[in-house]
Amino acid sequence: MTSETRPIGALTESNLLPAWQSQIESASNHEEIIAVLRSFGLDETANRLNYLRQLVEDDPDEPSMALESLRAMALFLMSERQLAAPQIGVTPDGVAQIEWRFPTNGILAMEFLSSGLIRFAAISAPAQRGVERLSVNGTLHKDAALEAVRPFTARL
Amino acid sequence: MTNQSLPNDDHISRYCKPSAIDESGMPMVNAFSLRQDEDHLSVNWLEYFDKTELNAAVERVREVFHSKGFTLRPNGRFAVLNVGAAKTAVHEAVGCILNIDHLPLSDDPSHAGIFGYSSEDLAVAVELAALVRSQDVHPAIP
Repeated sequence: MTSETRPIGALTESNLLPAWQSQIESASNHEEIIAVLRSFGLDETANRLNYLRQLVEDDPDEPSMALESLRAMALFLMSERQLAAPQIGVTPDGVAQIEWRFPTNGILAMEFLSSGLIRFAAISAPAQRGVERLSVNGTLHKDAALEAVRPFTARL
Repeated sequence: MTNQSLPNDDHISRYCKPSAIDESGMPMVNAFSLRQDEDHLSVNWLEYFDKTELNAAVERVREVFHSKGFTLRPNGRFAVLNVGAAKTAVHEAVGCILNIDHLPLSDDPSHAGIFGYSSEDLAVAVELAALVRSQDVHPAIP
């Protein structure tokens, strides 16, 4: 690296946005987004996304992840790297979904809608008669969704 | 004709495609998600086969899938749920009343459906996924 070279994740002087953000936002296809995730160190995520794409090629019944949903998920994962790596899937309608399981068998799941909203649902444990537990669900913008699920992300 | 509601003590299996299986081999929430145009989640009624062992009933489901031309994938799984536990969990947590009804098809006589997903469909799917323990998961191809 020369003295003139910027680290790839550096903020640009023009807009103070991280490089990954502009690269994900300007990506024109799935491969470009996956490449950005890999170049910024999310190799496991990139591998899983490539696996999901391969499944679609092998089986037309497998759902294909919508580009805008993938983009929204990628922006989320890059901006929230303090969270443990989630499991990644895709809904039958092509919506990117991430989820975490807790040792109590609770689950936090998020779906990245093409509108930019996040649909989320979380439970601290499976339903058991007479046992109190935390649960939350809704559809909100990212910051509000993160606030709503904070009792769960704090456990990750 | 009204569809037969399955007994609470009985069990259903849901085929989970590889895209709905996590890296530890467990079904993810999306295994229990509906398409927008669906009004029920397709499952199979295991007691239909009159087997005393759930493993044997799941094997019959594999045979049915094969006979109707559906290709089971090596990384797919069958998740088994108790009917009553699924209905109770969703009712108490989400407030939805699920109906799990026998919907026999000519090429799939044990076919059944979970009806009653609401606008809170993700919450319903989370409740169902959370009920699945590792011992409830069977390989699509043994």
